[in-house]
Amino acid sequence: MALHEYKCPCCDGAIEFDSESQKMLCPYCGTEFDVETLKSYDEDLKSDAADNMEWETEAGNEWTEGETEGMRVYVCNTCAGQIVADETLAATECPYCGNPVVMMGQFKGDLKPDYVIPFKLDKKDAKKALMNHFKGKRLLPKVFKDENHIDEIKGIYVPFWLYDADANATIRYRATKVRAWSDSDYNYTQTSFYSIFRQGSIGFENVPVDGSSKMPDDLMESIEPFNIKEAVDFQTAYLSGYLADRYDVNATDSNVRANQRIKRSTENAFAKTVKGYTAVNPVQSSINLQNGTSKYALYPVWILNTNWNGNKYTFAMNGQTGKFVGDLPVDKSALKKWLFGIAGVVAAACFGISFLFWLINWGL
Amino acid sequence: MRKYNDLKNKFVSLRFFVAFILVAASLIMFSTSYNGLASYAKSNLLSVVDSADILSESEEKELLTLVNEIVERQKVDVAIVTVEDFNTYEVWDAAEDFYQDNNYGYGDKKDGIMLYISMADRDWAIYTFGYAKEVFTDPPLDRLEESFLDLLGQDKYFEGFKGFAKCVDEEITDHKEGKPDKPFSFVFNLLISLAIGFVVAFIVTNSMKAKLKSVKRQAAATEYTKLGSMKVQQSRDVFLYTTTTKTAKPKSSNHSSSSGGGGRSGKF
Repeated sequence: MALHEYKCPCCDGAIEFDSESQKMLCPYCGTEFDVETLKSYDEDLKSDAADNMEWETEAGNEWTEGETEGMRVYVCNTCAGQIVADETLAATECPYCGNPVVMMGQFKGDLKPDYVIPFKLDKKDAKKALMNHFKGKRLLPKVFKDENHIDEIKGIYVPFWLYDADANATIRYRATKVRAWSDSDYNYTQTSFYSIFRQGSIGFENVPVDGSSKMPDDLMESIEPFNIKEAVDFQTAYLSGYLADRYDVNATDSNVRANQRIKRSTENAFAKTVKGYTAVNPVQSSINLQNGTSKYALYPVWILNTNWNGNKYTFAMNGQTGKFVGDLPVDKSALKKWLFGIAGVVAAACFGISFLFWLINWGL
Repeated sequence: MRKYNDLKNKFVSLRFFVAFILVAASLIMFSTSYNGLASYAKSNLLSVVDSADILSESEEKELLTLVNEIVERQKVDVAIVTVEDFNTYEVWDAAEDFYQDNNYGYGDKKDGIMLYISMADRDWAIYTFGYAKEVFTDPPLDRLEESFLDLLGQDKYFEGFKGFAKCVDEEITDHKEGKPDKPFSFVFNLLISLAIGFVVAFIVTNSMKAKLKSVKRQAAATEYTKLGSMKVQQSRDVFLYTTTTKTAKPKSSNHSSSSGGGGRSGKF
């Protein structure tokens, strides 16, 4: 029979049986363990495995004949962004870089989206939201607000891949409990170490990943969540009056991002079941995905572009919920004023208080 | 005959005068020597008594020279005593007994300060008497404690005792010069105030700056969890081992006795 070697949970050294104490004793760090403890710890270790996050990608359908007839593809000569719109669209600007786009021809190819969430908010709502976005921001340059000339506001259907899956998780945590007490002469701190093992499953639905490489991922993730319950089966009619982005990252390439988020969420969800400890840290986690499927959907987004001091600022509004995001520039001179102003006032107050304390304690 | 009598009278008065001078001189001499004796009626023991033997021979000598110089200059007795263990209930009482029984103290009022260390349970006591009790009120005692307690805790006895002696010297000098207990340090307070001001200003302006940033990636997919889909199939919490650390509590308590001594005691 092959000799099984246990490792010390404390220092990873090879641990031995100590006949005197009838326990496992680590010859390197001197920690003692029950044989049973080490056995179950070893079992936990054996469950360690790599992640397996595979997806079946059957997202999207084929277009039926004649369905794409009224749709045209436009391309931007500057940034090569491609958008889809119906043939009624007159000249427009590229939603990404603001340069004019030209019609490339009849739209064909690609996949037909499974779902679409129609626009619920219009251009006026987007403008109002922008004004609200400027409010309460003391470091925003005044000129930026005053000169506020939004170059163009465009409603775009952004392609999203939606992932569904059940995640099977096997996670090992190292947890500690700290107990502190003291007697008349000493303070004591006792740290107890635990090996925590959790195995279970959790389901995810419609985790979205932006399928357009032109649309910044962080901008799209910032206006989440969309309410998928309001999604309807895709019809080309929804596109009229709006632009549609063409997906250029396919479902298989986009799932990397979905995996990251699902893994993190699964770890967090199971960490919440580890209770009563001072600190909990995941040591090893392996996530297996089952029934992983993906869908193709178009989500409504208002995009607003503006230029200021030679820099481009892009804002995005969730066309369904109205969530508005977009980074704003910092007014450097206002920042300096606030920084030195606050520092000066606080320092003066502190100095005054320190002098007062001195007077009360020693001077009077 | 009259001339003779005159001469005789002169001689008598001269003799009387010489005798008077002699008596007066001897009286003065005696009285000064008596005063010298009284003012430096030193203890029957040295200023440094290392019964616990925690100092080397040379360290003891160096410390003794240092302490004696302070005693002579400040006219306040300073003593450092180490013992293996003390017999009374309280270490501070042991220090008082040692001070009084061995006749420590400078001058008639027996002014002096003593650091008394017992090694068995690492106890320390400061005993103050007379003028030293006047000098060593709470704030100077706090500073005095700082000068030696940490060093004793690290078993650096010689450094600790030197720190004690130097601090005693400084505190007495400050007291004699009538300095306020702690002068207001303009520069120090200004620098600290400015530092606090800038830290607060940085925090406030950073939160202002953070308001301008609203674009950031999502870390997780929590809002896409299927409601009620989470199932924990196996759950094991295995206790592995425990470690315990203990640190000595630095502590001290003030004392004063009916016989007029003052000071503090604690553990190191």
